[in-house]
Amino acid sequence: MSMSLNCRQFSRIASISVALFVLILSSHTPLALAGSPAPPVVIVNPSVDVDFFSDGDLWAIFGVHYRAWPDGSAVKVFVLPDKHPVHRSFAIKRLHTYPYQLKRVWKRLAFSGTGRAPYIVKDQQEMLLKVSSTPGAIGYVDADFDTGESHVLIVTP
Amino acid sequence: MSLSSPHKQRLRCLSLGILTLAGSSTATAIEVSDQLSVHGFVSQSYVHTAGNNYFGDSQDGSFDYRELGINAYWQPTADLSFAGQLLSRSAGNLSDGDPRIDYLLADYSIGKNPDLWGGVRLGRFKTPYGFYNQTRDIPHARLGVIAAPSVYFEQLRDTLLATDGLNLYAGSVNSWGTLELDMFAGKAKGGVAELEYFALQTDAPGEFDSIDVWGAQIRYEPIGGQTRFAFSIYEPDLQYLPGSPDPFEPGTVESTAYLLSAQYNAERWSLTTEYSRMENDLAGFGPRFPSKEGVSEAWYLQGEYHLSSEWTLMLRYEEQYLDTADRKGTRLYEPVFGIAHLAFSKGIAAGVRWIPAPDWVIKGELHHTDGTLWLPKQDNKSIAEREKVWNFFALQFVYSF
Repeated sequence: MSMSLNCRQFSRIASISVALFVLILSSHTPLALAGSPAPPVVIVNPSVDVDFFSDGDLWAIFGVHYRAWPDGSAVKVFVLPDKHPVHRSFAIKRLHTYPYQLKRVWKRLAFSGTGRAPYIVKDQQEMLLKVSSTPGAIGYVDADFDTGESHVLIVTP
Repeated sequence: MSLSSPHKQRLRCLSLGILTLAGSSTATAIEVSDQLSVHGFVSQSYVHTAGNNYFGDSQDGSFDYRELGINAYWQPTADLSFAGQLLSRSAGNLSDGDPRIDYLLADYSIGKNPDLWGGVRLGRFKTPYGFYNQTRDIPHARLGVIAAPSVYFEQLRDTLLATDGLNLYAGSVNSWGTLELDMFAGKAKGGVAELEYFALQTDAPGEFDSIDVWGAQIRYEPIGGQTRFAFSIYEPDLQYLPGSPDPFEPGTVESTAYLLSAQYNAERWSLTTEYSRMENDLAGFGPRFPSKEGVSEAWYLQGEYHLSSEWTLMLRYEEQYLDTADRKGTRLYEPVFGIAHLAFSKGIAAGVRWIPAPDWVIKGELHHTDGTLWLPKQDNKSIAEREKVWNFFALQFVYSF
């Protein structure tokens, strides 16, 4: 294949790519914050003997930097899916970060052998179920979410 | 590129295994038990280049770039964990797809409060270097089809990937943010032809069979990681074992690489820059290759724009110089090799990443490059046939769980 043909092909590919960019730019969906205006609340399994989390503590826990509670039991981190509005709200309001950054941190953990990425639950019902039934578990739900009779502790900031 | 048939069979088994596992999973990891989780990925790329080859005979369009990986993480107790990853990478003449152990380690951590933690890793661990070295082979963790080729150049790739030895780590979170430190020492992979091109400009008869390394990385980020900083040191000592016959004598390359990394993350965009400076001391290769000291340099500036949680655009400018004493290559390199452009690369890259579903990523990328320093040499063995200005286009499909 001759060089000139390759270059022509290249400009064609380039112009298609630019057209694609423009198309995406004109049709993208906005990043919206939904749910309660109050920050989501942290919930823990009753086995966890901690009644206060600073911003730094939460960043260390959800960044999977530290693995054991003060009593020595394993920290089990539960999170909602990347696109869940409560996850987004928790990331921004409690962790002072964005979902895309958390995803980056967790991928690095999961694929470099340096830690365990959080367990992903599909919705808040499952979050409540898992956190209440797993010793050492920590998660979060919307401030307005009814935790009912579940055995979880709500930790207010 | 052709593969031997037992080899192909192995690959087929690995991919089949991954697909079987993938079929049984939802969008995320496989939780074998409370303590054991399994992740994996498959990527296939199409590469089309003009001027030079990049991963196979890519000037005619090549599918010869694919990655397969599967890993397990087992944490029997809160402070003890074991992790391993098996990886197969096919990349033109550079990687033949042979499954290899990417990492296999035991990790013992201490510290039961978030203010201060630490631990030790023993075995084969991913070498902490810059923001991206540990995940450069993980297609869905990379923003682009390939990692920035200036700082993460192919020639040093295999050496940098992992270290067999000891890794001590420590960290602390406070109201001012997170401070982390990694220190490590051990052995790195030898016998890499691409490395011979970097040091000697040719695939020499012998090889760098023994590579001792040590290094450190310090990282800082305020809570939330809006800004991130890292400083890495990496020091490989390479021993050359001559073949027979061999124009080169058993020389050594002693290098020290410094890498500064910085990132700013906003809601919709990120800006990343990394600058590396590598001091190289080559000695003892005999009369055919006079001893020399030089400084290699590389840097890039990359912008990402998040249109939505599915779409990201990327734009990057980057440069790499083999020897800062001769950035154009005309003084030290052209008289010896007949061309100057093997001493530098300057390039611009634009890309788009689409996440159509949580477990799928599709990426497209265009590069325009002046100079052949970061060009994979095993795909372009003839110095005379390498084109100074060349283009790269790639599409990549990734499935991960």
